[in-house]
Amino acid sequence: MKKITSAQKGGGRDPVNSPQRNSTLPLEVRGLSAGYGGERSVVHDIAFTLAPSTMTALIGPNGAGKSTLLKAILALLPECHAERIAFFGTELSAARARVAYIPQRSAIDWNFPASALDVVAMGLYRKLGFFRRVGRDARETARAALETVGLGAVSTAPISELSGGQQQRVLIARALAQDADLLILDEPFANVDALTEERIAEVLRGLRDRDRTILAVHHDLRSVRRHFHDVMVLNGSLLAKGTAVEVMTDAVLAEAYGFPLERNA
Amino acid sequence: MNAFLHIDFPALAAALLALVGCGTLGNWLVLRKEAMTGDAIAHAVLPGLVAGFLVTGTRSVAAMFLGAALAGVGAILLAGWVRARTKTGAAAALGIVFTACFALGVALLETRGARQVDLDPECVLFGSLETLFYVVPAEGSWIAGVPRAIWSLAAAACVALTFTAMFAKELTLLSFDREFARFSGVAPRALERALLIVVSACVVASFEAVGSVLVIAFLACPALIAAPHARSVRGQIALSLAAGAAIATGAYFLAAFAPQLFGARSALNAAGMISAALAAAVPLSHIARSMLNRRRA
Repeated sequence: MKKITSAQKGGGRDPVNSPQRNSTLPLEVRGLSAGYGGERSVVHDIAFTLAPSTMTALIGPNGAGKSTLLKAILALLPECHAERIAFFGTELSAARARVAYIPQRSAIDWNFPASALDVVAMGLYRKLGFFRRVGRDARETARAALETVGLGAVSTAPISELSGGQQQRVLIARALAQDADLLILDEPFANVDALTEERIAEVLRGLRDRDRTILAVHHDLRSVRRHFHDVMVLNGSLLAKGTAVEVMTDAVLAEAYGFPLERNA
Repeated sequence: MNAFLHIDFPALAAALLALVGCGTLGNWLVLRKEAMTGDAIAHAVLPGLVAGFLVTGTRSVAAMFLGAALAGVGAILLAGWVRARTKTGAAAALGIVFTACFALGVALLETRGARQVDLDPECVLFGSLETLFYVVPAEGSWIAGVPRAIWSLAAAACVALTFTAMFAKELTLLSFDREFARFSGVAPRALERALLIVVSACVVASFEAVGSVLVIAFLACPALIAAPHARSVRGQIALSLAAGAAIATGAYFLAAFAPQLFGARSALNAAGMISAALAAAVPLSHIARSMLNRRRA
């Protein structure tokens, strides 16, 4: 398979999706296949777009390739072929400042010697540039981001002393400080209690209402409809995409998860 | 007092300068969970040292330094290549390359006759702290009497501190969340390579004076001692240097003077004593942390 970069392919081939129209789309993916260098790709032939100010869940069974897809989109995988991956109508390298990736909480070493404020301030490093220290302005911005996610009171606490839900919100606050327009989250609700899940969802909804676009891997089928307006169902390939009400049908879920739901279908 | 100035002070100053260089950089290795890298680099420079000696035929410092630096950087690039070409992890790739380098160095040392000459294995392990003297020059300024090793150690310490100060933000980001670093305009691989090159330079500069054992101890132990107590990266670096300096000074005097208290005429090997004290302090620091936590709970 020949690797085609989005620059070579360009965006405006078909008249329906003119580049002008597409340039406002936070994310556009077409013909994406990705894996870890083995015989078979983990995800194949993926195509979707995210509209601005939407909140989309990416669901699917274990091993469906949800995290793989996120990493492939963000060019974090060695093996990825795509006809087009465009962030705000351009390549990732030109749009990194507008994109925030929030990894699984378990992917981070929480014993790292840093306070909540230190971690959030990391979101400002790009703006600060090389050789500049985190000054008072940056600290204020970071503090404001922590306030937004309801962690103003623990800003100086070491991150090792925060609860799992607080750690997750610190990572979201970092994306806020970065002032990203597209937030891509890998399982933001993993291993948090129901109350914390509600608070995180509230923070994300608040961001969407302020014109941010959110794509999150989600695990819990029961809460998808409560938290997300849009849903994509993945199992190697994209099985369905639409509003939660349209997509979360027994037929689709049976296809994705193999539940014995045929009688309801 | 005179004896202290001429004999003990130069040795102690050399040890402390090596601590500043290696100890500062060691914090980044420990934060990146790569404490082993220091160990690996200290091994990898051996064939370079020997090759430098073989090519020039003398124990010329410049030749050996150049050889060691080339070997260190070459080994790092080779490890990166092994990691990219195979499915081994970063640590395993380092392990493969650096043990191979060390073996090559030993083979060169044994077969090429370097062993009979002046390249003393003991010196490679424990350095030459005991041979550093300050002699007041007969004429000219007092500076001329400062041993050459002190200058190279001071330069290495300056490089380590400057590198750390310049890239503190980026190195912190790289250590904490490598993928996020990329989104913040940091080129992770370039910065990782720069770090390893600076570490190699520091290792080579410290090698002759303090030996490989103490270089390895300085790279890993101060940072590991400080880690359980630090609340910020800056705090960890400061604490590691303070604790390392206190332990090294204490251990030096123990090695130099304690044997006399028991009637012995000789002193113990200072580099060995400092290494042992640092190594012993690591578990003690962790035990202290868990006891403090228990009391608070």
